Amino acid sequence: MRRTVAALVALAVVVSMVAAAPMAVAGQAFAQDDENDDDENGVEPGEQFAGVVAVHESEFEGEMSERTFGVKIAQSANASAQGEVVGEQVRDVEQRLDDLDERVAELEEKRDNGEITEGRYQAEMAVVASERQTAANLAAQSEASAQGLDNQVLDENNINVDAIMALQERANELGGPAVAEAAQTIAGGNGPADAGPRVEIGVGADGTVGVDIPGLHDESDDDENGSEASADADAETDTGVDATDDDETTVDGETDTEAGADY
Amino acid sequence: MISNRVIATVLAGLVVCSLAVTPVAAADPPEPSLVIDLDETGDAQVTLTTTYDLDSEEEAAAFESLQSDEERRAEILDQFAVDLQSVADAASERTERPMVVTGEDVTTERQDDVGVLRVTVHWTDLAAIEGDRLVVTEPFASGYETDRSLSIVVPDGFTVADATPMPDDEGDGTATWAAGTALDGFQVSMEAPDGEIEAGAADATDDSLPGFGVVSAALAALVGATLVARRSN
Repeated sequence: MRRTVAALVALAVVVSMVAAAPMAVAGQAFAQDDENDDDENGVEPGEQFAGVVAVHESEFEGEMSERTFGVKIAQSANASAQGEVVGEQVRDVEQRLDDLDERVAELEEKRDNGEITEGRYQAEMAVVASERQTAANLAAQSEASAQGLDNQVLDENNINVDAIMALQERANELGGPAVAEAAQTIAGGNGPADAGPRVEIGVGADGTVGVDIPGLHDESDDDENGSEASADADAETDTGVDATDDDETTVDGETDTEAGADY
Repeated sequence: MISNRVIATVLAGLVVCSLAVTPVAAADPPEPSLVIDLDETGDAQVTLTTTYDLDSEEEAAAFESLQSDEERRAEILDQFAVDLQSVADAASERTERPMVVTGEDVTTERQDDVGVLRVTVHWTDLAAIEGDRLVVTEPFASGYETDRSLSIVVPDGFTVADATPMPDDEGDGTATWAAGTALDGFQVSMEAPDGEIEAGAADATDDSLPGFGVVSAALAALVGATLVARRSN
């Protein structure tokens, strides 16, 4: 009897140790993961999700602003009208950058005095990153358009090409490296595939400003210039917009992404 | 001479025509939203709806160009799926449940003077299977707060058993939280019809920790040894 009890106790001890070993390893692994979570960036999953949603919305709005500017340039009947569009856009970019400067200062203050969490700060700064990219793109488009305007038109609309280039630089540097870092953090280390302007604007050999808006239906779709819409005084662009509601288009995706965590 | 019957027929026809051309009240354009459409395995179709006011002809033309730009819309879907996979990775670490995000669909639609962009991804194991319930927590429970509503569409036959915080609207198998609602501590439990989740659904998730199998084997060995000891006594 005594020998049997001793054997049972020994067996229980051995079995417990065998069972406990991988559990302990697993426990350490998860504890390590938790530590990494805290150390990595201080962003909770929900905060990151909210940031991704807000960035997605901001990018959509930014793309619409860039395409709208392209349409306005393309539809301008002459250089004078283009000058008005560019002048208005430059003032809009200045306002955007002033607002962003103010917002960055506000976010830093709120983060420093504990009004918002580090994760919320990162999520909001990721949106700033998206909006400053839009401002930089709009400035680049404005500069490209201004290159095709003569001095009289530039003067009439208070357009200074050097000042527009300075605006681009200001946009790229707004908020310092913290802005780009926040964008990387919220996107999980993935930067945007192509953050540059969606609409290409350039000055042709004839001195007129040309606009390439991907997807825009216009009369030039059928000619050699593809979707390029000239802003030449005689070439009025038909945007093809009608009042049809519920005009829906769809793209199906097979965009498999990397498998998630390794468990 | 035109008979009364003919006149009556013509008048009736005119009434029918006038009814036919009476404008039907247009549906309101959609509001920005995030919709989580769950199935019984815990997987979800996640659709983000974003809107843009088309206040001018130029903005309408700009939106139309995006509608026609298939390549760009595919990029938007791809980027969104990649970004959400990163969120899913963070949620996986928190829940100890692997999750994979795959881009499904992107649509653009113009409703009156509003441009609507909808992006949909497939998200595996967004909900955990706990007994006879599906439970959603992360990635909403830790600081998810946006200026758009959140809706959870429960699988067919399921009912919302518990929800924290309480939804602002519930009906037709959909629970909705209004824009701006702080969802800290978010948890929604959905009860399966007939009190059980279909066989096979649970196989889709494997929440076991390493070591659990060894513990089971150890306990079985201990019980066996006890029985042997009793017999020998």
